[in-house]
Amino acid sequence: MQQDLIYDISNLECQYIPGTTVLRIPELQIPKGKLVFVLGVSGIGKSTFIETLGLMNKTIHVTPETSIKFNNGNELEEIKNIWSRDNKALSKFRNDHFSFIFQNTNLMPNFSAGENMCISMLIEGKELAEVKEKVLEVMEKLNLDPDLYDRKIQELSGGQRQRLAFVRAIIAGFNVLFGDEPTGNLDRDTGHKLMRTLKENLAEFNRTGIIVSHDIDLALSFADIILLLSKKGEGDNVHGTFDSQYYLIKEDGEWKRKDGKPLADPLSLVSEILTR
Amino acid sequence: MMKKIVSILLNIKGDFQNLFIFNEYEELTGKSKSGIITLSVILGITFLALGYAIGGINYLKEKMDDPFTNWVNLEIKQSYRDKVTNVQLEMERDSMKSKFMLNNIGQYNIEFLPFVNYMNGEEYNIRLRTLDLEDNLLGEILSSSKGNVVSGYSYNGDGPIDIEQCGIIIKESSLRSLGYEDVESVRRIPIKVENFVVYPEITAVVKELPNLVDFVITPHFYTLLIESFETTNFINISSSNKIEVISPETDKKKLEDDVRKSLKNFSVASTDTREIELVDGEISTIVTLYFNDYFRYSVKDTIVSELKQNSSYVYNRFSPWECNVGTLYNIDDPYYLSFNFDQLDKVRDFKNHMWDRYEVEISMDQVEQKENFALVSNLTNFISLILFGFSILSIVFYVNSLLRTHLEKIKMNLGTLKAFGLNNNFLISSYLKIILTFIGISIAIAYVICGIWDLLESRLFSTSYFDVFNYKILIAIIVIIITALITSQRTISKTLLKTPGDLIYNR
Repeated sequence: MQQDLIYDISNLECQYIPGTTVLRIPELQIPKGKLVFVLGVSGIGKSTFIETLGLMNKTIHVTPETSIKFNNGNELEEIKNIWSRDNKALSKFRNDHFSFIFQNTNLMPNFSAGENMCISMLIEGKELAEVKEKVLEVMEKLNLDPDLYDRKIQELSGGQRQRLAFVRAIIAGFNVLFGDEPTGNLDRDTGHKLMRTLKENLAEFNRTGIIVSHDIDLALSFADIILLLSKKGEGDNVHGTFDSQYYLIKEDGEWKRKDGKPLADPLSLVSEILTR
Repeated sequence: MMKKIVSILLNIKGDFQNLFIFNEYEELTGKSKSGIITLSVILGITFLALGYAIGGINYLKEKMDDPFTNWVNLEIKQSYRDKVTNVQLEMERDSMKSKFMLNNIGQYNIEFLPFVNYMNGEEYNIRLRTLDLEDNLLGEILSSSKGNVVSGYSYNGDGPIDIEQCGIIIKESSLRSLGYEDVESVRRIPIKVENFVVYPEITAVVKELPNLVDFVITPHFYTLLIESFETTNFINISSSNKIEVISPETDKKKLEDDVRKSLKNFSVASTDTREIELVDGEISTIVTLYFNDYFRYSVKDTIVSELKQNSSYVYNRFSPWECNVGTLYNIDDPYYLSFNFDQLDKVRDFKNHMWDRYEVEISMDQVEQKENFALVSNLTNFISLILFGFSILSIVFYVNSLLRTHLEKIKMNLGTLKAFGLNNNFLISSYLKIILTFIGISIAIAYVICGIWDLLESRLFSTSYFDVFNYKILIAIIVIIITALITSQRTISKTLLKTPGDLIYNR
């Protein structure tokens, strides 16, 4: 059972400033090979959630009760103290297990489109010629013109850049892909096309995707699991949290709560949480 | 091709580092390479300033680096001539030598003697100084390691100095002023002694001589030249039936006929000729005229005058002379004493001692000149150092501000690369390689420009004060590179200390 999880979290507190908790997750298990959407109002800690799990920020407030277990392919490894490792080891861990798509794409401005798409695999130490073939394959799947490969980033539209960032993310070798509003700059059709490709990729390699989004329609259409983050506390103690009743699973096309109770109208529930 | 060379030189490994370094280098240096141009200009100005400072110091040093500075001279005035012996005796004592770091004491004269100009035959008085063969100063003048000798004998420091007692050591510039262009080819020069002309051999031609003299001779030769010939037998002035003249004409037969024809009042019994090389490759002829009668030397002057007057050939008196080393003469009544010091640290104490004890004033001109030079040199060095420090600051500030601005601009990208698993060491080493290339290329450009400037300056001006090809500039380059790399490393590390999330979300 545990080997089917990618993350097994208990008593996670996320803090940017010591003593100020912005997100608290008492209990959360994320199964492997699923596309997980994290929804919630702005400022609730969605980005903090993926920054913490993707080891982008040192936000884990480590207490004896904290446990963040990560499936490294062989076992569930406790990673709550991973930040005490040296930079090289930490970087290697990220490179082995994670991939990212950002809303702002963050493509290197002085690299060509092709070079940008190859970056994740080049960092792994692969050769450019070898990576290029793979990139061109994925570009074809996404109906991206191969001529784009040699174009400069500045010559591309926002949508094209977003798709490049998507290619960069999915060709990497990873276990978990984190996306922060990955389709924010795309029209609905293109966004859906990317999600379909992502789902195929996740399914093919038994990988997990954790996507932060405001797009309820996209989430309900493509997510296997939706995590709804909500506010808790008052005054200075307000922070985001995750309640297991807001863990929604899609099984056989039907949305259910974690305990198996069917949800007749998931859209209403999600909308309600997001407007609360 | 260039990229390949740089890749090998900088040990760039893998496609990604290759791509990263060259793309970032292009970005950092700007589309029109404005970064390289600006840094080259700053470095060029730095090298120019340092080159002129170093060149200036070298020029001063060359001018002031008198190998004879460790000598202090005392002019023996009439008022204290009687104290000289006591001074000499006291200073010969080991205790005094060690007290004042004194090496030895010598004595010498300075005199003017008439020399004949090689080109126009006119007479010039030039200044000579006597110098003992045992005097350390002679070793300094002829030292092969000090580069003072232009041609002739040079002394390597082993054993005694082995030169003729009656040769002359002459300054290159003095020889030129006597009409000789190729100073290295001159073997003998004419000195007029009363009505006689002698042709002593040149022992060595040197760049500099002490006491602003033109040539140096031994006290023995000096005595031979100035003392009565009757005493020294330097020139035989007794009556004889023989006289010698020298002519640049090489046709001996013509010369023999000419002297017979030209001398109407004196009947030449026979003649003899021989060759002599006063200058390498230029043969002159010595004609010896024999008469039936014996003449006093004053009559011989009349004979030479008549010959010069009646002949179309050029004749000069050639007076045979003898060095007579069987009896070596010394100067009985010197004009100067010279004190040779191992180090100049105690010269002022020595001067004070001489004044307190003998009321003798010592000239400190050379020592003071050296002290002045040291002051100017130190000041120039200090100013160069400040200038260099300022240049380093400018370069470091410029490189770092360029780097900081660039890193700030791409920090979201750096965060993304870190999130994808790129480690800090990779990024730091890559940026240091970029900075090294950036500075290396700028230094090369600035250095080439300065090299061209050096070449132009040496062609355009007779004296160049610019020296950019020396070890000090090399050290400056190394210091610039190391300082820039260390400060750049700090700048890069400071940025990369942030987590990927902080870089991406600009926290």
